[in-house]
Amino acid sequence: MKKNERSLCANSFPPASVEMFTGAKQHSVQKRKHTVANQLQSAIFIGPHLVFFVVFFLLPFVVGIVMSFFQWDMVGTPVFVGLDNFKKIFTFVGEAGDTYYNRLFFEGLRATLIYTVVATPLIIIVPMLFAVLLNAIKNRKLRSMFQAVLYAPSLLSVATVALIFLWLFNQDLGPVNDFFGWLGVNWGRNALFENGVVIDAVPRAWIVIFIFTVWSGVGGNMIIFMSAMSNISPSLYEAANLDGANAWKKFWKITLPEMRFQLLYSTVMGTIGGFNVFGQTAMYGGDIYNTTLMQNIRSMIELNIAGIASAMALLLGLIISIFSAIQFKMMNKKD
Amino acid sequence: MNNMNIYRVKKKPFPIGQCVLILVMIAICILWIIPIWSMIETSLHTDDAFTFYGLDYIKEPLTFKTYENVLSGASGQPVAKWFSNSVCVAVLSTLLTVLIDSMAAYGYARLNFKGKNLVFTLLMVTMMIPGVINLIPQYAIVSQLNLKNTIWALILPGLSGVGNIFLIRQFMYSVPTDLDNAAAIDGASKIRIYFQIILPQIVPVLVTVAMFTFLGSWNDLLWPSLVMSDENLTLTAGLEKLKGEYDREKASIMAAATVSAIPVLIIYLFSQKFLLQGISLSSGVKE
Repeated sequence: MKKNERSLCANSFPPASVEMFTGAKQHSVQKRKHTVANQLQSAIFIGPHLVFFVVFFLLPFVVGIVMSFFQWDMVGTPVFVGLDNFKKIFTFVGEAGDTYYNRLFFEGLRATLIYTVVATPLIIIVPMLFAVLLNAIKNRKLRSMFQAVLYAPSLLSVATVALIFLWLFNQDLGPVNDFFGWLGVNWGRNALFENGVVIDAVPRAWIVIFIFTVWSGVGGNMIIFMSAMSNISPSLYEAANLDGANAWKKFWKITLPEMRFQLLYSTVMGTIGGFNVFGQTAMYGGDIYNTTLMQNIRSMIELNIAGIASAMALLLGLIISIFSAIQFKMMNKKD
Repeated sequence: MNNMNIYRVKKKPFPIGQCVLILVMIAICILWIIPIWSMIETSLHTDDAFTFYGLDYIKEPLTFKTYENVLSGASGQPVAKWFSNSVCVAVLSTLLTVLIDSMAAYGYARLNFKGKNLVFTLLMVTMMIPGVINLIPQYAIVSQLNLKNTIWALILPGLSGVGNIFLIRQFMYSVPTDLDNAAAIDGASKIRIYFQIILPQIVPVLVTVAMFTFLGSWNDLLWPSLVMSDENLTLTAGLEKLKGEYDREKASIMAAATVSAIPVLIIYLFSQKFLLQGISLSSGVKE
């Protein structure tokens, strides 16, 4: 990094003064290196953040792992129980007792997986489509206007977005139902939502969740893909043109491979976000079939069941890490 | 930037492809605007307009009455309180994050101290830890520190983030060192150099960081719902409490949703450039 600094100096100053500056700098660095005063001065700058980092990140991380081997109600003294928490999660005993945690984990995980498996590809493919379309528009003003509109929903919170779509798909007077009524389609009680509460409409609830995930989720990736596409060297396309490649081929053979780092970033981020899904389903009330793992972890925190909740969080964290690692491996192989 | 139009067709008298493309995009954009438009339109009615099945609410004149009701708390939930909480928390979080993270970034980019590389590597490695593992202990620590139900419970844990430091540090490397070296020779202290020379030069990245911090704080749903009691929630987390009243108060709920969306959309209008740049920046596109 020092090389970098020096080269910047060299660019902006005539040679004589470069020597003067770099010389002066080295001198001052050597003189003051690791003196007590210097260390203290540095502590002023990095100290505040480090304190928060240790208290609210490093410590929680260690505690989070340790806590999953304890039974704790967040008030009394934690009791070491070994692997008991994990046993409770993985044993299916029947209708009562430990089954509860087994269900909380696996049914939560199922809903989480449904969301991740569907939503992650959606918010890669749709933004990719938009990015290709937008980049094909010649008029810059129009292009940035479209881009601004498509990105806007990404700023809203999940809660806001979910409330909007609960209203849009509301059974009574909801605009979507109104629209279909106007078209002559009467869904009656088969509408996606009944007064905003999903009762037995599990697959239908998912449909709305995915619709608004796309609506509010395309923006970020679209921006990333657009700027990645504009950074691809035009000579690649010119060479392909000479070979007579069509747009479709150019997209698969040049655009996509050139964007693999952005794709990797979006895929990993999307998957992590998918596994952490919480608000999207939490806003839709309590049906066991679309209650995700994060929601279950929250309810357990509210019930002060810290030990087993930590064990579940640790398992979820492990799953996330494994998925990210696999994605890194797969993308790197294509290199 | 010249090669944006990679699928450009050679000049034609009438660009029919472009016209079709623009029409398609206009259609998509209309689809994208409808939900926001519908939210605002609905909030400009009264709750009564939605009581009867099939009532023709379009005929009712638009009114701000619902907003008055919602913000005065007449609808039963302290929306105004939630809103002011959200503003306090988001603004304080943003200011503190920008200050603390830029100071740390300066430390890691420009200062020399024992163990610098070790500490920085440790910070970078922890970025890969899934946040869910930290959630429960964070909650326990906040409870132990008696911070629960205070705005500090919402602000302080957020200051432990690492990503922003990395971003600011990267940006600092593009700032020439001449000025701070000159100032150092003149005997200026590091703190003065940081405030008077470094800070003014890294404003663009600070604006980006500030905006993402503000948005993150404003839009957080899970954490406030854990550490705050119902009357002290932030607006975003408060919206979750509103959804149960959907059958009776459609307009009120949309008004609350609009109130939560407006600050964010206003920020977007004024600082679109920084925000869009920041997204590419944090995904590493520019490198």
